[in-house]
Amino acid sequence: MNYIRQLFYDMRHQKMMTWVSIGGTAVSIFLVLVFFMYNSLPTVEVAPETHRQRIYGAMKLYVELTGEGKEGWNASSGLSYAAAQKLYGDLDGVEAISYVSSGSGSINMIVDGKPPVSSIAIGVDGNFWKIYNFNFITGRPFTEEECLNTTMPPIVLSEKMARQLFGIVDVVDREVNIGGRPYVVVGVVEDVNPILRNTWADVYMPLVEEWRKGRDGEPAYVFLGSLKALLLYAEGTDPENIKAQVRSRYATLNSELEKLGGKTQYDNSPYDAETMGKNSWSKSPTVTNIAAKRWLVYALLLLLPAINLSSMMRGRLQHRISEIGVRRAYGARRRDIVGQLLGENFVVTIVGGCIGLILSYVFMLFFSSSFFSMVDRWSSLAAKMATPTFSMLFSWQAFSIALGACFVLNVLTASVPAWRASSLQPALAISKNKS
Amino acid sequence: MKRNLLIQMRNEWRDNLWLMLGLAIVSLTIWLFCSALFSTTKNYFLPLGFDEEDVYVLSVGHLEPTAPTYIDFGELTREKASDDMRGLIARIRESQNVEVAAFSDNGTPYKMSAINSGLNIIGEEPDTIGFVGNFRSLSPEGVKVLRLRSLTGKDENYLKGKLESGEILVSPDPYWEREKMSVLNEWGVPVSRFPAEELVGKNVIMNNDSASRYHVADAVALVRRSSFDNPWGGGVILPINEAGDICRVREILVRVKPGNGDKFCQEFESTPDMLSRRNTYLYGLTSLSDMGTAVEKDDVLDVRLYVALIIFFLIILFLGLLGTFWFRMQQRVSEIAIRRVCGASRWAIFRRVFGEGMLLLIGASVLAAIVGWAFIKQTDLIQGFSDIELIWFELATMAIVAVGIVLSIIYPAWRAMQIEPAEAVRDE
Repeated sequence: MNYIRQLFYDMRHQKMMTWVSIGGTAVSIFLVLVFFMYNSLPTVEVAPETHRQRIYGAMKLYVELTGEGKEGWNASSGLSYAAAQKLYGDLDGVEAISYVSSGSGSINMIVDGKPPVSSIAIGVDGNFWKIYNFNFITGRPFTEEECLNTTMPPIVLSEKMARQLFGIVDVVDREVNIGGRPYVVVGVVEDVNPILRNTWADVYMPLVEEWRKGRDGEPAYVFLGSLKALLLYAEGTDPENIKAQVRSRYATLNSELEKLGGKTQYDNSPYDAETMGKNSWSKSPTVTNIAAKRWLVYALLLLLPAINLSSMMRGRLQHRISEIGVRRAYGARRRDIVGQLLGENFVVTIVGGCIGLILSYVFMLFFSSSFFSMVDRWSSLAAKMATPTFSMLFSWQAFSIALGACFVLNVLTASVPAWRASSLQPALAISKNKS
Repeated sequence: MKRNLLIQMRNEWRDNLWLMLGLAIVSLTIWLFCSALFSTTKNYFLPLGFDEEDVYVLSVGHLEPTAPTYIDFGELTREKASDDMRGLIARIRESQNVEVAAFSDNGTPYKMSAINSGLNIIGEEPDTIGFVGNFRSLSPEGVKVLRLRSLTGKDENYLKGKLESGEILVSPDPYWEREKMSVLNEWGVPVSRFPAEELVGKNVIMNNDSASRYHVADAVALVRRSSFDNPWGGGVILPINEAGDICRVREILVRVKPGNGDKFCQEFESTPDMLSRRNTYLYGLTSLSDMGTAVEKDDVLDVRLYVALIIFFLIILFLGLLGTFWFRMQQRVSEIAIRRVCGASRWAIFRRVFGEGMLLLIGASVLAAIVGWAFIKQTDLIQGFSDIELIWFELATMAIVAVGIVLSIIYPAWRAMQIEPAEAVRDE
């Protein structure tokens, strides 16, 4: 109790130092947390993407021509339905697989002859609704069989789009005209935050036959298309086991491609949520590299203030040298002194950490879209204004990081000065202050 | 005095070493961010080459043959689609709100893809001289929609007339002058490139293909993809013949009368014969400036983030230095008082504290430069800069860190200046 009283006396007595220490800590913890929260957005599990840690994706296929006169020609794009099935269909350890359009597109929708409404659409198959947990306000998802209905294909609308088109939400069985073709609304889902890139859209269209086709032109390009495969792994599945299966499927595909005058290369797919969010189109993204850079940033964000605060801490302890000397003379052990000084500093760090924590939440909730890119580069301006919701940011990991960062900062800042201060001989410590 | 200061700094070497280490890490970090900032913004101040104000973009769509309302014209499909396109643009041009409208194929800023190709002057040795540019196609009115600017002082009507007669326009590569780039021909021999202006008035062929011959009418300012994008070469504007086969043209650009944008949007949405003709329809009406804001948003965010991080690191530096110097001044109260008694002026005291900060800056910068240089050369953190540019970034970093140091020691130094000798040595 005396220690706490002494700490508060010291803090009041050294107002400038107290504010500088708390401010420096707050800025540091703020930066660490903002960086952590931003980086965790691609993997955070919120509805409808509640199984993100178990959903892996394969977005593309690379095909190089080997025929005479065309050596070296190559193309890399989404997959055709046939290629996606050959490479990723029916893998052991995969609970469900969904084939969806590899990107989103702008479409025009016309209702009852009214002016067309522009919206963002993605094409999805029947399994899409099984691997993601959409909240249906009204109606239901469409099935795989319904996707191939050519006379009146089904669509699912977001709540916002239903209101924009019809003025109401209960629009099941109403008709919408897209590109001259009538579609029937079978369900309306709660709006999805654009930050959730795999599920955000205004309209969910069925993956009709045209979407599943391979590319025309070179025979070997028949496996290239406009789809990506999303795989929901069963609980406890080893991702490396899946990769091994896919690698052998690539070998089989290569032998088929050889007959068509082409070849492909295994690209280390399927990718986890983090890799899909960060680097979806590079040839073979490496998470190790991303993680290494991240640790470097964390280290930098903690090391910088630690060095600065540590110099201050040393200065601050100069004032207490005689007090430390007296305590040592009366039998206090060095570890008692070090423990007390570390404890005192930890309280200051925790206060700064709490301020940093609050500031980081305020920043991420209200200002993050002004500094961070959280959606695809080609998204609309409205989508780019999206900010994360509280449920995306609120996690025990964020608190652990904050507490851990405070602890590390405290040890980095105070341990060396406290150890040095406690090492002085009592007589020397007392006389030093008088000189 | 100076020697005295150095001795004093040597006596406090442990504290000063820590401070210099902190300063060096901050300097290095700011150095990295400065280079990233420069890399993102280096093209921002180059002219855009077009006027986006009051310009709207419409995408062209065609019904799929499986659509119930699709009309099958058999062999006449392309011809009918071209007729529909002409009908739609004619209806748009009739609008009271529209000044001028044109077809664009990969010629819409913010949406253009890089389609690089080469031009060679007919009659000259093709392997000794060449011009590389990105290919854009516009119908003649496009000159007025985008307000292209002639580099030889010609007016818009002249440029439009030339496109109508099938001639082409070229744009210089902004980097040509600076870098005097050369390209390798198929035998690996360097081929010098030349400015676009040299092509004006000449007959050229495209990619050594004698079937594609053009006459270069004029040089116009390069239409860039966006403010941040690297131009990657010059530009070539090919004419779209509105009377020909235009069924694959992807966009219509509309310049509305000043301030009539909203009226045009309302009119477009409520006028069915502006929206579609048979199998062809228009969609996605967007203003060019909105499109630009969306496309450039990621780069703008990067710039903001780099600036914010530089400011944050400066704040951390500021707080650390403020605290340390504050303590130093408190510790040196009696020393400063004795100096004052011995005749030192208030400014001399201020200068001494200030000098200490500057010496620390120099020490830290040298440390950061040595460590940073080795670090940058060993890792791929900063790429694509010459050594001279890196030195400039280091100098800019020194200037930024110097501002941080000045701000953080000014208050403690001012406090030291105010010390009254008698008051300060009272306890001695």
